[in-house]
Amino acid sequence: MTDALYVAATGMRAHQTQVDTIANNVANVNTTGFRRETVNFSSVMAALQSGATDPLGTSVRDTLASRGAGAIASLQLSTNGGELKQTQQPLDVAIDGRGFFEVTLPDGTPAYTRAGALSLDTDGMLASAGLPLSGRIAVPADANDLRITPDGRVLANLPDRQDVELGNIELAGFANPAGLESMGDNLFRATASSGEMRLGTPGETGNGSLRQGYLESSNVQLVDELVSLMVAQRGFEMNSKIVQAADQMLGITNALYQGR
Amino acid sequence: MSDAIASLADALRNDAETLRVIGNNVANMDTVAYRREIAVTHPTFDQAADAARAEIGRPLAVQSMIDQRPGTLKSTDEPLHLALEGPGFFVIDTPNGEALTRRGDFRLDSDGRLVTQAGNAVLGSQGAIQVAGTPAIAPDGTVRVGGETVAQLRIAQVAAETQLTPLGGDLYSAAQLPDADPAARVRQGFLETSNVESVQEMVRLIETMRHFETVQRFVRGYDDMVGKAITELGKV
Repeated sequence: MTDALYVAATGMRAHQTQVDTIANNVANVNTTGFRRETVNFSSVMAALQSGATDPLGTSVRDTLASRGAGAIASLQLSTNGGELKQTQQPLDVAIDGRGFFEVTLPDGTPAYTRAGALSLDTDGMLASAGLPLSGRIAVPADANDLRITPDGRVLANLPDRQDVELGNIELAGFANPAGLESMGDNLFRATASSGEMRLGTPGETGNGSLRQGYLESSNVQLVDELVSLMVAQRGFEMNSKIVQAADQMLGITNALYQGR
Repeated sequence: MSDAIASLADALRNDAETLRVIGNNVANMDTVAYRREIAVTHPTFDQAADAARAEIGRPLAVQSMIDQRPGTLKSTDEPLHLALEGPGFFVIDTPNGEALTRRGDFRLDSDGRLVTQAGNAVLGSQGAIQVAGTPAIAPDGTVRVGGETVAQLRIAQVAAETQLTPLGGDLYSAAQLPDADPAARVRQGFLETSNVESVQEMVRLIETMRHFETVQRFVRGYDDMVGKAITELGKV
């Protein structure tokens, strides 16, 4: 009875995680470069001690090797790219592929982002959401007609010269991008499971190429999320029924003794 | 304890175990490729051990079996999500040897190998599968990256009557590992759902709860009877 109670509680918790994740995805349906998270359910087995013997030396539980003990939920970052939408803004750069921009956090450590709505920071450096790209590309105040080529070269016209190369944007690639840890603000941090970071020229190392004048929209599909939400909610409800039933069973058991 | 009470107590415990099985199925309703447990009640007592077992608490007379019917396929559009059409299993390398699973929500690990969510390598005909970039996986299990064949997924076929042993984490072990199945079809971008049906589980829940109540009435009735016997029979 208490087994069923705790097993169903794991189910409720796992479904709760799913509802929370869907809420976060839906909230970010319009966030540039947002990657949705998906919930993976796994079943859990409680292995019974094999060879456990009773006082008489016979194996009590020889028929059952293990029993189901509920479900747990874990999160996975979707690696699907969102759609590229045209904005015509010279500083909007989308990544057509699996790579990430590398930015430098105020404490000097690197972070990774797909948000390509670039701007200039206070030092005139190309930056994403105020954090400078690690390539440190300075754009002079009098530069115009800024161009970013698919392979990452940043060109501009200066008053005295045409087609001056200001720097190169490099893209960071990971063996397992789904293993990156989300830091909020569209930023990701490398982890042990994401694998070694490789910086490379866009278009050459499988990290994808750059598209100036485009932004990557969030890869959240509202319809998919709403269907998942319904499933998660009903799943939660059903698990709560099992908890109720287990509680009822305990009540009935207590009523066995009539005390007369 | 008298025999009637003992077997009624067994019945109560069996119902509690059945509720655990239902709870586990419902908790795993959304687990990828989960196979529902079925609680099977059957008398297991052999004569010789009866007396001894009554002393130490009997083992449960409920066993659970695995319902191996496949779930349906649901589209996810993730390139590393694979589903098997028809029978067959993916072969996984675990620290305790090779295991089988139908759960195809794979990912890459830090070395770029195709692994399960738990981090165990998915095996191809040449061992672990190294993937650099986004793979295209053909229905016959050929893994290609950028047009180049890099591996062939191993799909194992298990005879229908073989009872698989669940290892947890949706992995199973079979007594002997079967050969590759040339007829298996792999679908990329799909996942297999669990084969839990909510209606079935709810009906089973009602049945179990009502049975539990009925048995409780019997215990009370027996209790009344014994009570009467003690107080009434002694009167002259």
